[in-house]
Amino acid sequence: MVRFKNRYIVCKLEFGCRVTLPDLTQDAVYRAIATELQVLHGDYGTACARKYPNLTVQYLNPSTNLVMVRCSRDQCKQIQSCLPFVKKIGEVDVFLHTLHLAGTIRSCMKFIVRYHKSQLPLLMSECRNPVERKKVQEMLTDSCADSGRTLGLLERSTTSQ
Amino acid sequence: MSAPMDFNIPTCERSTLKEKIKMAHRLGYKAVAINIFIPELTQTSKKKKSQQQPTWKSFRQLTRISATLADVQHNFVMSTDIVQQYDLVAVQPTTDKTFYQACTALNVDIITLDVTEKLPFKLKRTTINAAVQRGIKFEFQYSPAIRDSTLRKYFIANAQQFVFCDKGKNIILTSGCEKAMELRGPYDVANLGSLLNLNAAQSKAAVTLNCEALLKHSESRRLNKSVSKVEKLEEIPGNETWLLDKLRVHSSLESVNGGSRDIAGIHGIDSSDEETSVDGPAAKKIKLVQT
Repeated sequence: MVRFKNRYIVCKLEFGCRVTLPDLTQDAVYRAIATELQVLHGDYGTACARKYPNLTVQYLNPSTNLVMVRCSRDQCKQIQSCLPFVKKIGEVDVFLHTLHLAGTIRSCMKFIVRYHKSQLPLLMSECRNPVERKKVQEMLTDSCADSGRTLGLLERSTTSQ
Repeated sequence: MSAPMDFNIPTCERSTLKEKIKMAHRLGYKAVAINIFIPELTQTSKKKKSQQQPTWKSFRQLTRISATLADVQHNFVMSTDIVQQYDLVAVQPTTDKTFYQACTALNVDIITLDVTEKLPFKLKRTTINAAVQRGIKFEFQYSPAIRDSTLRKYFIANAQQFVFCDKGKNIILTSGCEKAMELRGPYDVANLGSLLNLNAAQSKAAVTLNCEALLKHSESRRLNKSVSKVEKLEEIPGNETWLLDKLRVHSSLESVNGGSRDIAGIHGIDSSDEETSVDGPAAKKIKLVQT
């Protein structure tokens, strides 16, 4: 039985100054990674990323800047080697900080929920008034719910196939 | 990952340096070294910079000095106290002879190999082995590779050439970043190792274990030649019993820390090793005191 094995990489988008955070789309992140892949590994790298399971950005959380990238297990090393070279996404100066690598979406989502929960006290300590704190808390609970919902959607879509 | 470290954050104006240090802490590095780069070795006095604000627990900020070696004659400056007082001493050789001198004679911790141009000298396995035996690690900076495509080619070429000579065991990957945005997380830096023909364990070691080894090497470099003396607790003469109190405090601190290999350890007492006494009713730990 031939099974397509994937690798899911959870990255955080790190901006320099955190004053204004621009909105990035999954598409923009994908294009940035694909461009770096083309530059570093050429046509061969890009071609390997086109076959199923192709390189895709599965999940992007705009409020906490977490990205989940999918690639095939064979190409994982190649993709991971080109992630450090991503300097810009569109016009924005950004780099990818790899947080987690897993073989299933479920494992990644579990990590994302854990990560959000661990970030909460750090972010709370930077809030200056209760209004900000409430906002941050709501945002994080939404993100956790979002991850759970995305996990549910993805699970349903895979079982339906 | 056990204690990733970045040993090359060049000094610049205060605000940029602060940003770089904050970013390094955010990315998960446990120790950084702030680097002062001297392009030419002259007899100038460089004051050691004090620890930069901000500071965090379990985040060491070390000082480092690097110099390019152009001429064999001028390199005696590296042995002066002004240079040796820094936590880490690095050199970047530019010729065959200076490379040989750095590997065999100079009292340094790190040998930086240039990633901005083709290596000007041939790497010889014998010379590299001489350095490896002395505990010196070879450094490659990855920030130039991130900045520019041509530099990326030289980074990969030079590093692969070195890994071929050395089997990839004594390499450290550091940033050498000009801006905070050129830093990368430790896991990402380790992934660069796959471009350099390093296997997974060697890539991780390049960011963690080799750096830890370097810290120990730098400590030994600064302590210089010393003699250790072992004495049983009962046989300590009367006028030296104050030592007992000092040792007792030290050993209780050790038990609190769980006797950890914490590099941010206890300084102040010039002691290195531990040895338990076999005889004696209450088996106390004797510290080897370096004189």
